[in-house]
Amino acid sequence: MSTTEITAPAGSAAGVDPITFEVIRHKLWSINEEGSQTMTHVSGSPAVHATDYNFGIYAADGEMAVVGVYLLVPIYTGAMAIREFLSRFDDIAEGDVFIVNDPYIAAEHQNDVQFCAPFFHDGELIAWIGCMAHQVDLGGMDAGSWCPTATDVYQEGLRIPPGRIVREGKVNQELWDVVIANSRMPFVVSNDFTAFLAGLKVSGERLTELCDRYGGDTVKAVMGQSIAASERGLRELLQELPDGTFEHTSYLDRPQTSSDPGAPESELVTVSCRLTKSGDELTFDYDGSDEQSAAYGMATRAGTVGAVATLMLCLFGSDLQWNHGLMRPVTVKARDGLCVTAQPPTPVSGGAAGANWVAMNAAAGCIAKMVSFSEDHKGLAFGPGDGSWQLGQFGGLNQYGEPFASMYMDSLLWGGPAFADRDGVDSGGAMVILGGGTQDVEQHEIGQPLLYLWRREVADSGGAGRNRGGNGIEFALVPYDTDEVSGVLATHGCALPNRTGIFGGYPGSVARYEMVSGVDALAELRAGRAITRLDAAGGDHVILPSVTSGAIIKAGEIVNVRLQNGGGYGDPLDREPERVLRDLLDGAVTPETARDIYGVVTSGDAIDEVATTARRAALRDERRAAMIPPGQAPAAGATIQEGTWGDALRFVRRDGRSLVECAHCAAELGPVGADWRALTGTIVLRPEQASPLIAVHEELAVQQQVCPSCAASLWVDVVPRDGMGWRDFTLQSAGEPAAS
Amino acid sequence: MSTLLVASDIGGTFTDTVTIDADGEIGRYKAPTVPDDPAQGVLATLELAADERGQDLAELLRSVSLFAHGTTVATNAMLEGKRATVGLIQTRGFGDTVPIMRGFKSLGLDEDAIKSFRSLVKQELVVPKRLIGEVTERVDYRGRVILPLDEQDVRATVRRLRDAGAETFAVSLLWSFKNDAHERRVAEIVAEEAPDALVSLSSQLLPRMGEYKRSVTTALNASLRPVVRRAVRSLDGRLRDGGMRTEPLLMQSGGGLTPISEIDEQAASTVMSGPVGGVVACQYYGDLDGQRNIVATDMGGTSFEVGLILDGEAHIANSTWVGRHEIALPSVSVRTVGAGSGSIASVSGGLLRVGPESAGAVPGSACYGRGGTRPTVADADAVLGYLNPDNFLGGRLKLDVEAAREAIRIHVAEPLGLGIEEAAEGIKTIVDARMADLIRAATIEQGYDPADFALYAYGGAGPTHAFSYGRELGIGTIVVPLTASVHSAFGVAAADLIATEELSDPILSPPGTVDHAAALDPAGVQARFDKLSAAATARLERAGAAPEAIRLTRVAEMRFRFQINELSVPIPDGPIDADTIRALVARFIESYEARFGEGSAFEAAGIEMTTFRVVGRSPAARPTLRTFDPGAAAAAEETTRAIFSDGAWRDARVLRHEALRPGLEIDGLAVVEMKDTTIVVGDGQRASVDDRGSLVIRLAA
Repeated sequence: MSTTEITAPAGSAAGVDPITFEVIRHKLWSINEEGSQTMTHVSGSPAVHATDYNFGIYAADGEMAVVGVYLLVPIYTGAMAIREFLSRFDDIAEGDVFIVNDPYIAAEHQNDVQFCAPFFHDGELIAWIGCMAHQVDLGGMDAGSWCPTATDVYQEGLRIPPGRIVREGKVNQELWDVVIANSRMPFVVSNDFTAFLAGLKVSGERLTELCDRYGGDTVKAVMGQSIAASERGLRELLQELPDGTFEHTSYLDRPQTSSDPGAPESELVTVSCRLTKSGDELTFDYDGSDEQSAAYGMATRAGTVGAVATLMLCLFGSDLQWNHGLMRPVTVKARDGLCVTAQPPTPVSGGAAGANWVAMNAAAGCIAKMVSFSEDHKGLAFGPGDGSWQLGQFGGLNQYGEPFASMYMDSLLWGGPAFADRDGVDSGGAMVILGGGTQDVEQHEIGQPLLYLWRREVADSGGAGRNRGGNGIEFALVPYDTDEVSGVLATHGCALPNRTGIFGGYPGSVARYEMVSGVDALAELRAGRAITRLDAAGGDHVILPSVTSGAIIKAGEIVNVRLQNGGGYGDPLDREPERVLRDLLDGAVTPETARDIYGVVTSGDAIDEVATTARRAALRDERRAAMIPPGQAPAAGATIQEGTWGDALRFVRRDGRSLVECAHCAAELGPVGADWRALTGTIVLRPEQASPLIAVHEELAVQQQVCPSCAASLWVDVVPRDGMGWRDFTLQSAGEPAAS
Repeated sequence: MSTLLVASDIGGTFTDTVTIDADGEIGRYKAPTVPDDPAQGVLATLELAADERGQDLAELLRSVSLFAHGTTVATNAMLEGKRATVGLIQTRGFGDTVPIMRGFKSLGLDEDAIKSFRSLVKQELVVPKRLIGEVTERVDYRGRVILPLDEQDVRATVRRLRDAGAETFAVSLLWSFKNDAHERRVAEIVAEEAPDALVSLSSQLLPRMGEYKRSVTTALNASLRPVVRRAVRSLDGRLRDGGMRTEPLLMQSGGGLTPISEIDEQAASTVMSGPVGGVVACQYYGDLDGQRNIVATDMGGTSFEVGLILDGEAHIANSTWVGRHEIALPSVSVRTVGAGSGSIASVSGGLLRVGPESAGAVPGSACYGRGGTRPTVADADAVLGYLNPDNFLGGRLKLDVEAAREAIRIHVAEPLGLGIEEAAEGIKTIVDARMADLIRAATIEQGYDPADFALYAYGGAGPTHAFSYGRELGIGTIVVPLTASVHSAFGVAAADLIATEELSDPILSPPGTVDHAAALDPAGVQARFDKLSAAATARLERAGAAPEAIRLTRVAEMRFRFQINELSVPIPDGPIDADTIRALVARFIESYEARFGEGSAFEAAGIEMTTFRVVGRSPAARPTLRTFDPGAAAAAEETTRAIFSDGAWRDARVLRHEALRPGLEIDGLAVVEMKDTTIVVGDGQRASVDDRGSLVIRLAA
């Protein structure tokens, strides 16, 4: 195919013709897949087999060019790592492989060891290949190196600064040995490192073949054009959205660190995000978040920016190619020393899924509020996607008398968020790992001395809504064929739902660890007594704190892990009764929730339509009765374009004024320019009114905005009891600051 | 004397039949499939065969000594939602095993689809939640009963499912492959409470570790049983009514034949019944040609399928996919990508894409003149001159090249600022590269370099494109068999009777083990294989195999502990002792490193033998083919035609199929127009016709 005479078509940068471009683009994909597959084949790590890894090809300057679909956050930290190598070292040579896991520089936490190899062709740096996998142990105070009770970083796993693990083809054995010597599972780590090198080698060889055939410049140009095409696509999309600021705040709850006897059991770390959209640029500003502190959940800048990048890929990568183009229009603003930009020696191993996940949630809330101003793009919106990673790491002696340590990936099986046009995915809705899941029960039971009592979907655990949040699972384990096991259990989202719904949808369930002692579950079973519900198990029940390290669970005792799940979209009273009935028959919602939250009354397997209509009217009446009516809104003279905002609002022009209407009943709420919430009725919901499976911290409240006229649920949020300090949106139009 | 061997491939659109006479003469016949009555298509092809012989149909049917067939009935039932309503019974606490899907929402999707979070949802459940019932019982990982089966509970559950509409039952309890007592008892209770319903037990169908796949597969199997049973009984009845006296054999996904009376309990093992025939045919030809490693490629209208022959054996995977549903029964491994002659080319954002969207049969490619306006791969082939508009499919379809040019001009050439021919060649380049990438992935995944394979091409478009995707991979030998157009049916004729028995009953050695024979007890291994061998032999004998013709192979699936990747390692015949085990472990480590790379073996972790399998085979009626002899038919005249290749119009030699003679050599650029396909010999390639009438394309010396 001739590459010289064909002029560059619209939409593709100068250089490579569209046919060669498409052929090389697909080959780059295959090469990435081949490298990734080689790595997983060689790896002996259960984390890799549970898809806690990724593999990517980066441009010469470190931008993501081709990325795999497994754990997403590290794909961006890889780009940060490469930029760090480029700035630190001026002698980068062919055959080098760099290593880093320092979270303050370029990793979510110490377990995530990244290997990056510069790729040269004819002496020129063409690209980088990077891979990462969660290492099962790199030392520190807790087996597994996930040290949730650490108070400084020196109690945690080994930190590896940027450096060379292979220099010009020769392994740096001294460094290798230092790392291995610090692991409780040296064989597995060493094997993973071998796997990294195998994957890098294979994909490097294939890249060499590709460059030999098409030329290094051409391959480079294809990566550049791919990135540019995605950037252009995203910028065009952003131009179609209104300028303005969009805010969302969420909280990381953790065991109280204050010794004040009057302090609540858990404390809240505030993570607030303020998104400014201007033209085709996005700025996520976290400066309003809490300062770092020497306890659980602190995230580094790498983890936080990586989380934002994950969100950008998943939000805008449905139609656009996944690469750095989706991050070029993005700035993340956060000063050093916040809970999302922790500095040494703040402990950070538990922050891999801590404050940065809350930051990702907050950013998701902001973006949902932004895209929902566009009819064309509101389908992209979802509420906070991934609430909390519920670490369930167990260790001790297994049934064969051998030491074991195992992280249960079952915790990944939460429900996904609801969208405008569909329910959330049940038990497997994770955004951070799109292509992954967990192992079979049998696979766990043959390797670990823990018997499952159940692994099942939990009714009502997804938030209610016109479209329902996905339900997630709970799983109960009993030590079996061993005396006891120890557990590291750590998460957040126990004292509040991080996963609030949007446009009137209700929050999903909170996370919960529950332990039952004083009963021998195994003896019960052997006596022919099935244990089918935790509350029927007898014994002493303890709801564990969100962070427990070194919990001892004896044979016959029960640990139950229930996940935090997806929020709903839209008012549950608008859900078609037939869909509620189907959920009821499938056991996805309980009769109580069908009646009290969805307002659906059934008789047998059918809907009682008359009773349902009456029930829904009564629930609306209850809302009106409970509602604090809107205050007198200040009349601001702002004008904005006509249009809608998700399921909630409609903006109209009448008599030269911009007005806000309820999108459900078209009742006029007031003038544009006030905080929209001030134009609506406000209800403080009791937790059980929003979901039978949530808890709400005493400093917070579940607040619902309703239409004062039709009582439709417009928004449900978790806000500070003493008033929220943020505004959902403030639009900018035609040069004048306007509506909010 | 009954001496006619008949093999049919009942596809979605056409039924292909191959006959082989006592003297090795091959007949090839095609007729439309009647979806609701598969026997009709078969009988229509046999009418053609009878006509050719001057017989009537009954006479021909009476002379059939062996009838074998492949069928899409199970696949179609799955794709069209025509499965029977199944009730699934699971261990209490684990009734959500199927809906949870181990948390995967990406099963059966390609990377593009996985990257679309907005539309990424799980596939429809094979059993709706309300048709899943739980029963109180629990067995542990060693097969010990922890909680006895509550029979009253079972009875109540069966009644509930029956009343909810279950026509057929599947039972899949935790660890049932270690202890099947509870499943068997549940089956008895189902028989009492729902006497008309069939029951599938996971411990019988798929005694393997991993409750998710075991449950899904058992449920699918249960729901396919009534459908497959109806179809094979109807076919059998119609053929017997017509005069045939032999019991039909059916192709299984694993590439072997089995009598229809044996298929009933394993209905789900027929889902790949059609496509695997082509791979088996390649294996047969490979044996004759001395090719041990073969890439079998089938390019049809909507998809491109790749199977592998490794060291003379069809590569078997532990599962296969129908849409997004995985069926965990052994199957000849066939990888598919949405690239076929009907794949649509489109431009978006300045980028040219080909597929996966397909023009299908209706409206079809623009050049078919049936109303299609969007350009396809076939349109590009027509514009470039590879296809003869007046002799496509033997002249049965006249191609409208102008319509193809117009479609490419509007949708590809102008948006990209290219000439029509350049755009057409671009479409071809992209689709050929895509197919080459898939072949590469399929071979690399098994630890092989594609350049070490011979490539066989069949299907409507395979012979047209193979010269190009084969070259892209550096493959030295490309073979287009004479039977390319009825290749799957030919494979059905060439297949063996096969019975596979397996048992997942893991044994393992601890970390740090030096002598694995001490931990992996030889007597225990022997006992497992003896049991499986006896079962496989019994099944083959029931199928009519002579005991002395039965060949048994024993295979252990092994892995390093804490790893997921398993490898199948063959065990030589003879008694198993400590030395056998040591040799087995050594061979496992060696194959592991060969497949996954030097240094990948992780012996320190300990070794696990997870599954034991015995495959018994016996030839059904291996055909002996006559040397290809076209007889004295006059060779049609040879012409030349302009073909656009590498950016310029060039003259190509054009031959009709009648011209083919053993020993004939053809230098590229050349085209051979067959009745059902067009074979292209590329520039710098030389083709020769072998004794079987296959065209063998090699790089010219």
